[in-house]
Amino acid sequence: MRALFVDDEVEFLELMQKRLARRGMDVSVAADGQTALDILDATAREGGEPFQIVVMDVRMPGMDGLETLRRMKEKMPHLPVILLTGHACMGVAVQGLDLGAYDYMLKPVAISELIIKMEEAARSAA
Amino acid sequence: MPSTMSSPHRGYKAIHRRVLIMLLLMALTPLVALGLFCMDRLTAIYDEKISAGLEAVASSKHRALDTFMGERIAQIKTLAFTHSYDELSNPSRLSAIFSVMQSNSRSFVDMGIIAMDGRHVSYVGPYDLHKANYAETPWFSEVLRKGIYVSDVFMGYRHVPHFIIAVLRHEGRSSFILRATIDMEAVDALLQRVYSGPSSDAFIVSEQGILQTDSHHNGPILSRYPVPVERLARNSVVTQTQSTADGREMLAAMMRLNSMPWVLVVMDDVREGLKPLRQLKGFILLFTLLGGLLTCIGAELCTRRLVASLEAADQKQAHIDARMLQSSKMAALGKMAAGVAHEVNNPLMLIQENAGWIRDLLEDEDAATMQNYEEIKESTEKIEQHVQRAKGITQRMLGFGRRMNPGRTEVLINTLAEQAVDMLKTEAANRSITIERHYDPQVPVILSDPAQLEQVFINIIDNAIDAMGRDGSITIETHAQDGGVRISFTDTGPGMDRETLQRIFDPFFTTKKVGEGTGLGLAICFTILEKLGGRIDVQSEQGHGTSFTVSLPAEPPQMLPEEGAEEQK
Repeated sequence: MRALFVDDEVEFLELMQKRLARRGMDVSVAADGQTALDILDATAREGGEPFQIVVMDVRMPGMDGLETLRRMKEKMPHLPVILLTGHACMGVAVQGLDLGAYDYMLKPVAISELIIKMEEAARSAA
Repeated sequence: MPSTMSSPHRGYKAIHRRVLIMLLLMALTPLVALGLFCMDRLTAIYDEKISAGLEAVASSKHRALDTFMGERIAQIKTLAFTHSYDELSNPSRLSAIFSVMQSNSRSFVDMGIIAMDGRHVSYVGPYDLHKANYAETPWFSEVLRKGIYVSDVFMGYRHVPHFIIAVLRHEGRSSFILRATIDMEAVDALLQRVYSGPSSDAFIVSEQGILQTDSHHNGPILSRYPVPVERLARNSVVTQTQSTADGREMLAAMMRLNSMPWVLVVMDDVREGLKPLRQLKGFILLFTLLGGLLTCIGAELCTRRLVASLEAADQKQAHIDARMLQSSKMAALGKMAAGVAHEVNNPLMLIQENAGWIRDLLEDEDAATMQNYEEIKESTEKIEQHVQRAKGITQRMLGFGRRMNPGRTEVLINTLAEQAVDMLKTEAANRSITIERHYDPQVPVILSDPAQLEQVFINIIDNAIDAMGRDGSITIETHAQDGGVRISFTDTGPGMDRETLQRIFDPFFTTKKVGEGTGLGLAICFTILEKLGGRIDVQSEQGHGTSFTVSLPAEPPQMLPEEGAEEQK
């Protein structure tokens, strides 16, 4: 599975990349929303293997998760996005789901749970 | 005394005292002033009336006496000047004349003709005075000097009070004195006839201050009775008050006679005359006192009610203030808790993932050859366990700080309470704690959030079980209240001291051991109920258990738009 992780915690991104690679996933990372959109654009333009799932933080400097989500959905409405955040707020969750997010998960989440959710999401889009 | 979230103390006793004094001053001052004014005016009016009455009596008696005396003097004068010495010195002739006079008035006792040497020439009367000689008596020289003389009362030879009228007549070269005696009984009768009241007195006193008649209150005839002669003008009345020997307050009206150097005194008992006034004064005093008493009672009752309602209002306000303080504290702490939880969640995730990465890497190692393999594996698992524990705490913190619209589902509170009991009844039974339920079947169905309410009930019951430890009981009661419901949870636990009670709803305040409680349970209950439009109150007495009371409205309030906006941040 090809996944894109978007988070301003670079250490978190590195860990996820390493751990998920061990579990057979191809994980790309972006430290902010704009980079994530650029990566998606470049992949589409260059005809690379498309991403099956995006896991994204909500609170990020610059373009936040919700805005990034809105722009992603404009271009790739079928790309499933899971919001993963340390900030629990029902309002944000509802807003994210309204914008087309697949689900909303609260940090810290066990990697096994995250993988199950990612697989579910990828299947739903397929 | 059970303690609750209490109100500040105010000096209600001082307020009570001040209000009462003010009310009494305002109410009693005019009452007393009116009473005193009425009394004073009444006294003045009565004094005037009594004086006027007495003066009228004195005046009329004065006229009568003057007429009487004037007539007697004129009679004697006429007799002396219309009859010759020869006629009058003839005893039978004198006796005949005296008989005629007696037939008109019996006021003359006797009559006689006295020669210039003081001897009785002729005499008619009941006494044996034919041989009496008056040459040495004071009146004799007076009549020789003045020509006509009226004496004061004296006893004389006969030892009976009387006075005389004597007229000197010069007839040719000789002279004689016609002398007549007037019995004081006649004057007394006149005084009594003119004026006789129950304690009144009327008498005559000479200008020298000697009583000329008997006086009821001032002694028998010829006693001393000083009169203010200098103040007594002719035909004018002088009144003065006087205390008698027996302590009676008398009013005396005095008039000088025109015909004699005598003063007429008419006295009356002031108290006698003032009886109706005294009664009226008594009534006024009684009504004033009664009015004063009623005013005092009324003022006291009013003040009590006033201060009681002030105290109640203060307590209500203090309660509202305490709740508002608690609410704002909750809101501030809620925001902080959510912020802290968020900041902590990210590092927690990193700790967890790092531990996970170590575990991943360990899978590549040979457990047999790697020294400390098991120790490292065990430690990473423990790290993950504690991260899960910390996650539990941050999620509760986020739950506490979370703002959301409460649900609006039909809730039957009795059923919901029973569900909460079901969750904890095994735990309670294990600790020999009984849960008694008294559900009011009349409680209405309300609109609320059953999931959150159940969390509240479980929290309260769980706390009660923890507080009691073993052996005890929890009583759950439901009641209908103002269209909503009230549920109370009363335990037989150790109760709480005042300090604990005041902080019981504060987030992170706990009396449990470290690791056993986060101190968020009741804080969450408080915020949940606040969002549901209800409230939670606690009452506790050390050694006598604790009672939590949850009140809920018929339906939760609509969340304000700005609160919804807050949610989006």
